[in-house]
Amino acid sequence: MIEIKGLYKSYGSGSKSVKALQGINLSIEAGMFGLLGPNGAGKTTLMRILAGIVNPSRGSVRVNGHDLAVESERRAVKSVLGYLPQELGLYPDLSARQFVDYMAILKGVDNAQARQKRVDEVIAMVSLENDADRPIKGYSGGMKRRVGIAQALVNDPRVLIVDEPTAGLDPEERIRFRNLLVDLASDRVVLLSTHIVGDIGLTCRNMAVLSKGRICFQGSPLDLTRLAEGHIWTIVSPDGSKPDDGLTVVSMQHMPAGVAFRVVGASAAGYPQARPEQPSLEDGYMWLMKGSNGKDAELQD
Amino acid sequence: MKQFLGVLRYEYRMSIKRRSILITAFIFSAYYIFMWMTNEYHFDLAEGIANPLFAQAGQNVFGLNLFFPVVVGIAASDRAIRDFKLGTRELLRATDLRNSTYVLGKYFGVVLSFVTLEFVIVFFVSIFIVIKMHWSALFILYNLLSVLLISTPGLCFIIAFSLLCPLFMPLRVYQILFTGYWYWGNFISPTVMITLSDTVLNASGEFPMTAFLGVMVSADSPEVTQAKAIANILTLLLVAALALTGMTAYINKTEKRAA
Amino acid sequence: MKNNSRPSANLNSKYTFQAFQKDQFWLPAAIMALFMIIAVFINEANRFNTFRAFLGFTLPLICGGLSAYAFLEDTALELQFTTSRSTWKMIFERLSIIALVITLTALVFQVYAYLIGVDLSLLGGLLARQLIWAAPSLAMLAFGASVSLLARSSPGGFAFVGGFWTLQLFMRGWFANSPVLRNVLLFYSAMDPNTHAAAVNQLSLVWIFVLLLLATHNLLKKTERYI
Repeated sequence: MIEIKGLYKSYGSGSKSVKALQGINLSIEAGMFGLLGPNGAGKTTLMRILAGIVNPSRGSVRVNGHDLAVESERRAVKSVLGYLPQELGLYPDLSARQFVDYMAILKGVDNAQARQKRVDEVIAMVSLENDADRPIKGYSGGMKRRVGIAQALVNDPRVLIVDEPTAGLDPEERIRFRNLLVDLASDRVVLLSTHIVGDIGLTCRNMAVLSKGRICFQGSPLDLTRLAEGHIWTIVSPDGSKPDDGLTVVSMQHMPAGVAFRVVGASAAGYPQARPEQPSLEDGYMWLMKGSNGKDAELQD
Repeated sequence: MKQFLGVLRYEYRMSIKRRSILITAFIFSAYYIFMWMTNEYHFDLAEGIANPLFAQAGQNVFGLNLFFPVVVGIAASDRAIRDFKLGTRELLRATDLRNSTYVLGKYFGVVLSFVTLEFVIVFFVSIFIVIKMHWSALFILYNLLSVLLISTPGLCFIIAFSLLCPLFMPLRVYQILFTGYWYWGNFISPTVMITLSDTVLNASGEFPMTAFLGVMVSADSPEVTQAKAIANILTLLLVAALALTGMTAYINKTEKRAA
Repeated sequence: MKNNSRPSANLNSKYTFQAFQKDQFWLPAAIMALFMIIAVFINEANRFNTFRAFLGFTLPLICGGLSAYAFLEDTALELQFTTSRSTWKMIFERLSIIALVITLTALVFQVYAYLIGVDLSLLGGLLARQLIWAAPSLAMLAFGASVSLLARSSPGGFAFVGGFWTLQLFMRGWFANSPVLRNVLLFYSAMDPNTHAAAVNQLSLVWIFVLLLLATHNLLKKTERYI
């Protein structure tokens, strides 16, 4: 449903030019697709291009067969799009219900009764029924995020693009929202961009990792996890000194025998007490990121 | 003192690096040169001027000062309120920076940025004039002195209000009112309607120009004594100080209320 | 939920009114009230000039000032850009509110002039008189919008609008004396009403409005400049 071919995006020109995307090729089918990457990897730029508000420097993007380079087709894409930006701005004087209704009107949901019903549905989906008629300026950060999610869903989009949707949500809301996304993904494209590895592992069938504007991995979360097989150890250090030799500490746990470090690296030969571990998705991501510093080309799927 | 200088330095940088303001200043400078080329400026010089070159320099700066403060007043008006909008004020509150230091640092940073901008414009324009008219290079120095004498007190006055007023009124409301004020409060004749233009609150620089350099805006301009010009400058600076005190008090009060 | 019927513009306007800063409604009214008070207390000889100053000089400034803030101060601008409505529609939504408010203000002010017995016929007949404020206000409407988009900053845009307005005010004699430049002088038809030159000036300002509106459209289409 989303076809990205040879996508490049640069900001600025000359020596100050920033290459945000450098030759992205991606094919995203219906279902939940995760986009993972460190800050500044180009995720938000890619999301904005897909949402039709940033133009690519080069390459083509087709959503549901519509070419985003053509104005009329871009509008057709926007009419079936739900978008939650990373930095969400709302109108503080409107209530959540009014704001979502306003966005529904702007998105072309014209039938007043159907719109009213849909607004009520999405307000309920994000559990804002009790506060929906208060002005947004009195909301907490998490509540504002939920308003953002509701407006993204209000036109029942065929393509849903959510950029860091769970930022600011409490654990319960986060779980509820993850489940909601999985439900929605049964018959549409849901593109989830985040740097919270756990959110991807628990929701997405397919994913890609973006680093320095390039795709350095594309596959399933399980594939990414497997990348780290044989590269994860636990090293217990009695004096608490951190393991070195090119190993990256993923986590540490204080125990009576010392500090247990979970590490990622090519080899733990320097540590005879190192115990091999089964990798997690986070380990796979860390291993990939260690490699992507100099091995982008090798890892490109 | 270090905190004050830190605020001042960064305010100065942020204020002067705005491309839209620099472009606007550039366009007005180009206009200014154009006017010189077409000899549009012709004021009536008072008789018996001791230093005609200085008087001419004052006239140049006053010409720029007709509209340059409008750009300054508008451009300076988002400097304080944006800290509140962008949330940086909350960060600053979490430091031991005193509100008075913050206000003063911001104020002097903004004032210096616009005085620098005016210096640069006047410097290059006066070089152009020296070359065109074959005048003494002293003319350049007189122009820069004229900026301090004629323009700077008015800039100090308007920038204080441009920082203060948007804290309690919408930005664009202030900007529109300020643009109207500049003409009404400084250039409308008191015979037409009540105005500040004949009082010591006139911020156009006309009083010091007339009193110290002997340049009159028009033949029927009222005579200005040196005492009145000094009173004019001191009043502008005093009112600016009062506005800054008010701004500090306003920030203290709103933060106390929010706490 | 795919919708094929026409959008309900009335509801859209309702939220557009609610969502944006309320000062675009009360500011013109407040300045008008100030001029109404001045008109009462000013001497008889200058009373007509007070009305002329508000209609021909002040309203265009207010119009330019409001339009400089019409787009970029929108807190939900990124979301607005992701909707499928056209750029023209967005421009119309924002600028028509300002135009409406300015029109109402101008009409109320003229009714007030009638009520206190000020004869505005020197500015032309009832319809011709409306062009004294409408033509420059339209030009400033598109000027404020386009310059702020060009500068990617509302304060930066308004600095230019305010500077330009002040410059024209000070140099109005010089502009008016030039057969070419008087056509871009915002205040020309207020200074020299009921003349052929005033009509040409008004026509020229309307053309400037159209050109700047096209520029606004082209600038607003480049959405990535503003997010």
